[in-house]
Amino acid sequence: MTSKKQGPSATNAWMISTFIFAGLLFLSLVWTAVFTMIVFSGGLATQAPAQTIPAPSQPTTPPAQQQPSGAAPQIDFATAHTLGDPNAPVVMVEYSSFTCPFCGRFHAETFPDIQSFIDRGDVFYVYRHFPRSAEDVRIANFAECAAEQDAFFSFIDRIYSNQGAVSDANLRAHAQALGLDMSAFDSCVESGRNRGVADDHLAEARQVGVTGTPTFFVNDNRIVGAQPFSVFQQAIQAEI
Amino acid sequence: MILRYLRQELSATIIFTSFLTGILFLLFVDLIPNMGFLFRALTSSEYAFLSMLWAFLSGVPATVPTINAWLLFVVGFLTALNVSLVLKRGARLRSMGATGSSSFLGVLAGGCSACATGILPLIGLGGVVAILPFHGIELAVVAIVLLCVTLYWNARAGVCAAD
Repeated sequence: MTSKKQGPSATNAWMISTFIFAGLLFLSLVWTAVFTMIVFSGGLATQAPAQTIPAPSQPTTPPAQQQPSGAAPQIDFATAHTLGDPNAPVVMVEYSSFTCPFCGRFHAETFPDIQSFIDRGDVFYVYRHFPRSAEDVRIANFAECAAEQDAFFSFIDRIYSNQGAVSDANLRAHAQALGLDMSAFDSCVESGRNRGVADDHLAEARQVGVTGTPTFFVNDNRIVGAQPFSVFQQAIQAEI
Repeated sequence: MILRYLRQELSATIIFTSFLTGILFLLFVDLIPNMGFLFRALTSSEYAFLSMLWAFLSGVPATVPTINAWLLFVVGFLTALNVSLVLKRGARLRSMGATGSSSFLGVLAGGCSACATGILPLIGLGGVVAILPFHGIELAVVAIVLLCVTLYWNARAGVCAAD
């Protein structure tokens, strides 16, 4: 008695799909390895070096004032959203999305610990937008308008603490709670003049291979995901 | 009859190995995006590699969504069960191909494309998964269903061979 036979075409289809998926997996591993080796050898500086903060008259230039030559993005620190001492030995760049729950988790659970490194002058922290949707662009517009009144980090703290409530009214309420000039704030939001900032940050992120959020650069070291504080602690201490 | 065969063939060792494989699948998908940094930690004297590796591993519950983690584990577990049966019984090419396809589908769709863990974002296909209604979870479910089917085929292959 013979069982119902599967024709050769069904077998071939399975084998072909196996090879396709295996090929994709192999490609991803090879690409990651090659990309890592290239950027660590400084071969992916696709942007002209951004303007650096003018070096003080010292025999040596503090490392943080030098643009990273490897995997990290080239950022104009003078116009970026930053915290801490620009002369710190470690530059930590975060690409983040307001609608990403893992970014929210990082800001709630891990960033307060990293703040201690910032306060000690060991880390110079830079925040960059990574909009994953039109929603992120809309929220980023509000955040950039808060930045015009020097309230960027206070504003995004409130956003990350209330990621479930990001309507225009909610965001406006955050601005009011922070005591911002609402007339200027509303005017800024309605003008939409800051809408391009998030897209600029996204383009910059793509150039250095950022594909999701949160993604961090601790000097030249890329760290992906809302990793526990111990990962960042070791990465920062190794660079100090 | 199939269940009896499975109970016969799937020893405690195979089950335990499959359990470990499931865990390895999950850890692998989380570690892949950080491979460059881990390589640097391994080759640089400034880092304690094992300590760094442990820090990443202990962060898996925080970096991979729970449902994605469970799906990855199940894909790994079923893959190992299938491979065990294939090795034991030398199952037909169709079964081997189906096992491979389903497993790779589950691994590629695993992780979280939006939160940058996973494999598809590494090759620029994160957007493909991100636009799906459940952001890749449906692909992992399909993979698991297929792996259950291949488990049935592999078990039946053993039963038929015995006839």
